[in-house]
Amino acid sequence: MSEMGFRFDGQDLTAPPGSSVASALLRNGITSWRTTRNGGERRGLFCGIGNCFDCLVNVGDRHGVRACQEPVQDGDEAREFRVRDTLAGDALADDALADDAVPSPPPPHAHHVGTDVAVIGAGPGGMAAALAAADAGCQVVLVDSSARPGGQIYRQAATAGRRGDGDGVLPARFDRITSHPRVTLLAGATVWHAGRDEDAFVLHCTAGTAVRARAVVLATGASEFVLPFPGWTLPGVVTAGAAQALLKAHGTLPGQRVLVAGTGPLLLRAAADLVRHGATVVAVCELTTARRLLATAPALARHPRKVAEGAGYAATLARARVPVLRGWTIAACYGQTRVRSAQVTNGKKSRTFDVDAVAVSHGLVPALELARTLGCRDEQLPRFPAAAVTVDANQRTTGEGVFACGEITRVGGADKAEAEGTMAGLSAARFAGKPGDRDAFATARRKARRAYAFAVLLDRLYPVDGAALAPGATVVCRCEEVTLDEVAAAVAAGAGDLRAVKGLTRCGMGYCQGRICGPYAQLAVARLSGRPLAAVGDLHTRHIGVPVTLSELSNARSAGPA
Amino acid sequence: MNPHPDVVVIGAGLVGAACAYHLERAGARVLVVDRTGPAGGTTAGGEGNILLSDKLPGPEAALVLHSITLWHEMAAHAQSSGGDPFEFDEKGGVVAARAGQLAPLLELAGRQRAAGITTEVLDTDGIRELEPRISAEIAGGVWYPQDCQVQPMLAARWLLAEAVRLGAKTEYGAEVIAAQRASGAEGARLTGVRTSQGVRPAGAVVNAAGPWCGEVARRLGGWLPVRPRRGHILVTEPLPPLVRHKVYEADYVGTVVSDEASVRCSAVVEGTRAGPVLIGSSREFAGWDRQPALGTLAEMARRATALFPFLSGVRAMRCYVGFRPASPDHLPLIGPDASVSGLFHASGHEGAGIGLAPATGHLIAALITGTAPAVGPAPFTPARLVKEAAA
Repeated sequence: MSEMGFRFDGQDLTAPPGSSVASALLRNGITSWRTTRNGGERRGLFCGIGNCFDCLVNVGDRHGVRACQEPVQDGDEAREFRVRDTLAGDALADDALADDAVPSPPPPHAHHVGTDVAVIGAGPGGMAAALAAADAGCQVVLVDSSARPGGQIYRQAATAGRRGDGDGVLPARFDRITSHPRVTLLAGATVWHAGRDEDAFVLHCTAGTAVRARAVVLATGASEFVLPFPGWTLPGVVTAGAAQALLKAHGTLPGQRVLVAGTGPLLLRAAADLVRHGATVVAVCELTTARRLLATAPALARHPRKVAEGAGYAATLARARVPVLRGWTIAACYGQTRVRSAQVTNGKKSRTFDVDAVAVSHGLVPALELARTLGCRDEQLPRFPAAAVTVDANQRTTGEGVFACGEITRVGGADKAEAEGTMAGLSAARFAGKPGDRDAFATARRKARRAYAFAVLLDRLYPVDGAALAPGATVVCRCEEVTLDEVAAAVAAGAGDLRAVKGLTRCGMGYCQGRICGPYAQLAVARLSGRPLAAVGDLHTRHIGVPVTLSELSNARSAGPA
Repeated sequence: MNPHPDVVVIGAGLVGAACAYHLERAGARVLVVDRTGPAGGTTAGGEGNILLSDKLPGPEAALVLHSITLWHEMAAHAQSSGGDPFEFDEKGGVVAARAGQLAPLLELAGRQRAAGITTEVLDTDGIRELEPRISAEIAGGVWYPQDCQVQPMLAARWLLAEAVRLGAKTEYGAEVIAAQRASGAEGARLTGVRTSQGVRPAGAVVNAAGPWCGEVARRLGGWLPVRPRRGHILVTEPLPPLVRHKVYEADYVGTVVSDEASVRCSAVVEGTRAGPVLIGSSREFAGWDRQPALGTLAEMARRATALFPFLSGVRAMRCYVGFRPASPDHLPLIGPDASVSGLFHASGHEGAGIGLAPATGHLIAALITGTAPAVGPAPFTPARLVKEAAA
């Protein structure tokens, strides 16, 4: 298969067709393509799934796009992103002012699509919901920000000639989504606002489409939670999810010598995937102790399929002689323009590994913003950073006509999401006047209950709320480069909640809108002020879900009142 | 020494902070109480404008002229101890007019000049010299060099810290529940407030609870006709300094003084030191609804891009709503409650509270401690509205 050519800051490079900019640059040994505007730090890929906005890059006339999401085309000219490049470079030149003063032509009005049920998110939950509602006779629009369905867990290969996990696991499911006569897949579109007018929900999507639906299923999933540590902003330090997304979509490694650190069931899986793709995993550093794991063993034994899956990853790691350090935590990463070494500690001893990448994860945070914007209630769960949209036994939220499934009703993995998705899709169909298969609903409910029990077990096994706060100089908010010391100073000045801390420090005010720093800032303010998490509040409310141009925003008028 | 404060200030927003600061400077011992913390309400919901440009000649113009002097003193004081603690920016304001809007704008500017506000008429070249990226449809405007901007939350934090340095105390998480009164000959005189944290005795109480001051007045036995007038703000991604001043449409002043309940929008566009461009504005009486209205945001985006066409390709990152404390006659309510002795109000500034806070604090301190006020207090006395209601 022939590679395509592109340029980055004047260098001629090649990459496989279908590569994201991030994957293409990493394959060429380029780990950073942005300098922060305050601290002058180098940045590159971090979350890998479009949430953190740390990997902004310029490609042709597409300015400030996310390198992890943006496909690179043959002949593309990519450049480093700087704040002044937010606009086309020539528009900034004084001699371009005359052209600039001409009002731009009015952009085309939003394209409206009407449907019975809109499903947001095409992971396992959203796909199941879409198929269940469509099988019940509903017209369904399935919206997903990726180019292909699958979500994070069943991410499909984007690079030609490769197989992602999804390709092997669920070909029939993907075929049904793309071939079902009543399912319209709106891929590569992100819902940036959800509202309702007199007779329908209105979902405003990027790329100018507005979906009008009688019922909505939220299957928006979760993103990774990382406990900050010194050096976590260095290029080469990525989330475990980013490492997996790179592998699944592009077969690209984040580095050759990788430390996998954090806590949770995703660590072993990510480490095993890295090993299978040829990386040297120097260690897996798991916060949860072996003692706690053993204590949970009897309860785990009731989920033999899950245990077997975990044992498979462990076997892969054992064959590659990867040490799994239980009860160890990542203390710091070191390097100038990229990570060179990583230090881990168990409280008594510390060890340092030479690495060129670190994959880190401390759990998952549900994506609640659309539920919030639609007025659905959610609650903080006992185990931080867990929160969940409140649903009843039929996956109905507190917002009439809004249903939810998967990670946003409690982080619990693909089985739970899929079972709940079937229930949510059937409930939404019933709401839209098309009652579906009762047996399918009952079967899904049994599966969902079992998966839910496993999710509760994992919460107990991998707690993070007891972890010590990072050293004060550690950056908490990556976008605005706000340190924990600055957060503490705001708390000392009397700021009692996260909104006040945000106003005083800019923590959570950047491109990602608190997606990355929000949960940790909430935990830190609660610790520092001695107030409960609920009183501190969170940064999940985002009425503009992802940044949209002002011309897109002004077009939203034509979709009726929100 | 008397352990009790002389004055309890309710509200740790910028107005409450300014009251505490000036009361302490006048020698009073102050306790600031707030149900959450500093700068958690309207102070956090605005843009941080200190505007002379939108003031009609009269008492509010006099108040803002005093306030701008105090802001400069505060900034000089803060900068003398190093740093830039609240991002005081003497950026100046540009009011932009289309051909048909120019005559009434120039007429207003003439009257403002007579009231002591510095104005400079801009022709079509003049306005482009100040704002090179403004729309070709803009025929001219007026330059108001005295307009400034601060980061209001940081300003409140600085003023509170200064007040504390002078001896003030703060108590957060304390919500005012009811009045403490002296029984006997003095009748309704306040002797303190009862909060969720306990009784706080004081000789005088200042209600600086912003849009919530009507409810606080009611709990203390008084009356204040202040309603929340909701506004939206859009925040763009960080940009180089392409919008150099505060720029707004000539119809803005008309929307400020209107009394309509339904939403009214007017383009207000300004760059910030941190990079993002702030886009306003909307005004409506919509209760306490914190959910932004997409239609309003879209209208604001449309108006902003009409004023600065380059903005159409710039991304909005977030939006927020805030609640302005609106008085029925658009004048602040500063002074003693009409019926409850010992209760003073410092509210009703609508969207001008940041700019007017220092002069408000100064006036409150003068009224409570008996020093000479710098601005005549009569036009701001809350009793004016009670009288009208009774008439």
